[in-house]
Amino acid sequence: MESFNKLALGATGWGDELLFGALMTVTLAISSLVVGFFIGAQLAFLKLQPIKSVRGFAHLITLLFRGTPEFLIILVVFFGLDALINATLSAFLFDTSVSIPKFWAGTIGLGLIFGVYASEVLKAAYQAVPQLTLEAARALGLNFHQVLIQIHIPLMWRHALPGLMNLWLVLLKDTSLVAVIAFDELLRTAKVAGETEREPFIFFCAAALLYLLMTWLSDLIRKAIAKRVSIVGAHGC
Amino acid sequence: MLDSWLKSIYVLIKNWHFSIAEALCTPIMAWLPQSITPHCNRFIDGFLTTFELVILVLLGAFLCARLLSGILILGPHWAKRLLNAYVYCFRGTPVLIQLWLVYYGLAQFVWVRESELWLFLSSGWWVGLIVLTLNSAAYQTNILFSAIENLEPGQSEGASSLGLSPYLTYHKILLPQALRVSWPALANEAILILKASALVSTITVLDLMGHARTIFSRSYDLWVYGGAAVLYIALTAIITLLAYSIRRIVFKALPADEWFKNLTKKN
Repeated sequence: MESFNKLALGATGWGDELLFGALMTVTLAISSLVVGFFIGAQLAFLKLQPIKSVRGFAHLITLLFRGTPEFLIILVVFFGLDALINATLSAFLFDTSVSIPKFWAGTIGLGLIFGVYASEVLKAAYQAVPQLTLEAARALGLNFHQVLIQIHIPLMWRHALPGLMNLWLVLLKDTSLVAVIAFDELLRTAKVAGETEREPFIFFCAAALLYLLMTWLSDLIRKAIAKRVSIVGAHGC
Repeated sequence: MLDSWLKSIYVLIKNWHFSIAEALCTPIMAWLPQSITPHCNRFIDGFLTTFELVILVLLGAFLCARLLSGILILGPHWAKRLLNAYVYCFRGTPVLIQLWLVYYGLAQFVWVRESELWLFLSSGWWVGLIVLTLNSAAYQTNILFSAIENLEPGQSEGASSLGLSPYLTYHKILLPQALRVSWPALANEAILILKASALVSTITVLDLMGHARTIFSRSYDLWVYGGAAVLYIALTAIITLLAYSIRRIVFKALPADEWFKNLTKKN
């Protein structure tokens, strides 16, 4: 029973620290989602270009990022970004050294991973919109941009959202990797708490339960969205 | 007894790794980048360690998943609920927390440290093997089970009308078809496990990532991670090729098959 007291909220227990860690995890996941979605959209745009070398470049990037462990990417971004920025600064004769906050290093790393997978989803969704619908829109006199903005992208969403929600679940679990570069999110908080109290088991269990809670909530939202955007008979034709 | 036995196997395997590394590294020494040359042996050792770990995990997890999806199809109600809870827990939490929970978390209890199991639970490699196997088994069970559920209901009805027992129906009729359908998803899962195996370096295992991290912590040279990335991509390619040839040989898939078309599709 005494171990459970250590999970209490307030100054005596670690409960509030764990909850704050969970909040940091969610914040990190959401900011990586935004960055990753932007990167994914750019990559998908490159993959849909008619020029072969441009497409090849985008596919090469996808291959590189999908073949290496997420952990390696996070570490390379964390250590490499500082070096890159400092090298750029010193090339322009600025004699300062900056270091990127861990939050942003994590966001960029996770965003890259998310973006590479999202680009495949977005590309497939873009191509899944029936050609006849677009031709009908063009026949009604809409120009290319109007078709893209008003018809193509809104219709694309229902194909993209289920895939993107799956990627969100993966992203939420991947945020735990940032614990290794000592950013204080949920897993790292649990580790520190466990080491301080010399009872790692209960803190890791509590953190695992919080992760389960987060994935359960995301799964509920995913199911609701899937129900809302599903098209009857759309996969048949 | 078991202790010394395991230790001698470990020494044997490490010696074997480094003899392969010697043979491989000496001829290509001249072409390697400056920062990787002195560590070539360690990279090859890590490469082989990761490969062995992933292959063992995948084999173990596949055998577990075959059994567990059978229980999910045929078993009693309480067993199904238990298995669903297991699959849900392992799919809903990150691999890293599972590894740390077993490696750092269990070590807190005295009765674990005094039990026979401590021989395995005190070693990062064994914990990595066990946890990754359980994790991959959960994912593979999910894949196999949903593939079986999506088969035509006529398949199992036909089998039972021929007089096959539920067990035989599962093993001879449902499972082979489900494997055929879900093989691409299983290959995908194999790649995911390869990438998750990099995390065992956080529990002191010197796999490819572990070696890369140790070398990096001394030199702070980013090319070390570049070399590791190249080797990981090579491992991904090897596992994809293995999945491809197993599908070709075991499932007699032809080049006209949907999966082959997707693999070789010109964009």
